[in-house]
Amino acid sequence: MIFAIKALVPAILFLVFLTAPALGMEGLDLGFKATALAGINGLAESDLNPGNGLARLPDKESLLLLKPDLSLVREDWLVSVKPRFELSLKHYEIRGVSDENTDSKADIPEFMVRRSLTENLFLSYGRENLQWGPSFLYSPSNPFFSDNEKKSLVQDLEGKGLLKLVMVHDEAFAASLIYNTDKGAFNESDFEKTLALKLDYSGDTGYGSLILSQRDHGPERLGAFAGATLTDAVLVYGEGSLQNEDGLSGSLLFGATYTLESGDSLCLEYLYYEQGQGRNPDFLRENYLLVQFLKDDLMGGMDLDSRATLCLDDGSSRLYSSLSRELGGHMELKTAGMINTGGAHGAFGAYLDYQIQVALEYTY
Amino acid sequence: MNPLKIIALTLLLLLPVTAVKAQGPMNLEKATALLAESDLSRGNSSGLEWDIDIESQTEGNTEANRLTVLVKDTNCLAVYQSPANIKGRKLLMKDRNMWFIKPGLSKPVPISPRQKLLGGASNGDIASTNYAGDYTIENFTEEVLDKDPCIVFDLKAKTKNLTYDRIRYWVSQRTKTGLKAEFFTLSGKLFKTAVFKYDHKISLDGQERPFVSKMTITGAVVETEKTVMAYSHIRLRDISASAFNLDLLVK
Repeated sequence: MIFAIKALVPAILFLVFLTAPALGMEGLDLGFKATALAGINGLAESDLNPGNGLARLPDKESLLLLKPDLSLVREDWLVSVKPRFELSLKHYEIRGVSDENTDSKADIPEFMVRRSLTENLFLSYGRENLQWGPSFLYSPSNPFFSDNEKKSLVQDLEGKGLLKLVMVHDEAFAASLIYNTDKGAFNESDFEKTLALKLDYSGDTGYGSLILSQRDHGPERLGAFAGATLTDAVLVYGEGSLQNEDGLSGSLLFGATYTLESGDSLCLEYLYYEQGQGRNPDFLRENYLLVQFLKDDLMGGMDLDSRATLCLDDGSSRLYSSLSRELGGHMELKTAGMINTGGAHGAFGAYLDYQIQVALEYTY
Repeated sequence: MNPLKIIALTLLLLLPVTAVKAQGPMNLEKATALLAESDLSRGNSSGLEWDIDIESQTEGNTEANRLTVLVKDTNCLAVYQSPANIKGRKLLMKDRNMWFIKPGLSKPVPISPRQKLLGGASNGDIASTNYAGDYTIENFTEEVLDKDPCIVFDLKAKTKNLTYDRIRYWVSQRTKTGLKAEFFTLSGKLFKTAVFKYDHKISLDGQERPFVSKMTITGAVVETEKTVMAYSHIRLRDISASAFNLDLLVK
């Protein structure tokens, strides 16, 4: 019964999409994506996940995702909702025993209600995955989300409850007061509400932000990022954070991007993560290097993203490559492959040796 | 000697002098003013919105995209409208800082002015131009282009982070609009040419002005590569600073 209701909801939403323009619902913006994904995970034999008994990761999976995006703008209000519906078929190998599982899931990982109090003052509440900063590898300045990138080719990131007041002084200066009210769908047993003040500056050729934050029962933290356009082809940037918890500790990242005359770009980043050694599951060590090549036409054709993340402390690495190709104006084919080197004791190999994903996405 | 012959000879002798002194009536100050005025017809104004249909022909393939562009001074926001699989993507340019915002991406990605938009069009091509502010006039001469007397500017970028290092720009003295441009790389190589049409009219400061309706870009290396940008629905708008705020654009 519940599954029938869950299946009915996307059908109703789809009918709304088709009829909304006829009903004169001005200000309503509708988007819809349907994605089919197939993936293989090469599970690592590691002490952190012996026999796959703890993490219980699938070794094969197929997903069907329905992703409607609704956005309504009416006078001073903006309402944005991103419900997600997922049908999955997953195969597991746990302590030598095979198992197959089908599941359906419906939730709203992100939504937002925003009111323009004045032309330059905005108040919003919602569940958002709030990301900022110029870096690809990690965003040290962000006190809310340590994850900087999508783990899946097609699944969106989860959001956390955020109350925000954004004040835009002029084109150059803005400030935001952000209160993280809840952890959303994240499994964080040590979650604490966090208040942050973010100050932004954007100049002729450079930009920067300062972020002061405080957890309910935690230390104050200072984050910052800045970037500059040095030439028509060269961008440089840096990002970092500092906090005083059992002594002063922090992270620092430097990066640069060079765009070739073809429009393709090369990126290099170095990260020093002092809070490593087990505090963040994505960064178990301290020194990392990222090399990335992007062939992105931005508007069409084939996009290639190849990335190598190296842990300088133990020599392990994560090699990742994704290819996407637009097939007409509505379809896109995506493939991605990832290999972790350095074994189960390396910085990246605790759970997966490799991963391959293929997805076909239709946009209405 | 026949007086007519004397007059003809005198005119012939004066011709090179006249050609050199053609710059006389058009001094640097007037040339700069002409260049600034031509920028107005390409969007260098406070508060404008327009749609652009871009069609690119490359290696026998044709791609088309539609964008809505919001411009205020040196800030520009382009929102992709079609095709469906790129709708909602945004390009934000705040002076020389640029970001690409893609629905589904976790955050805006900083990009450089060199990043291409589609075919022969660069990010800088869809924004308003500010050649008078961004470039130094190294030289200017007079030339007739398609029966239109023009001033031909040799422009050099004032800073290294502009989309083009050098531009050769034909501006009509009659309509005060830019008719043709040649774009050069840092090494001095011609890499693309653009011609402009101005079939639109807008009212700026109480005066009616022609406004760009089409920009056709041809590659210098592969001349069959052509990108056509058609401008439409030009409208004056009161645009607040918040329209270009990066945090508010990512929703």
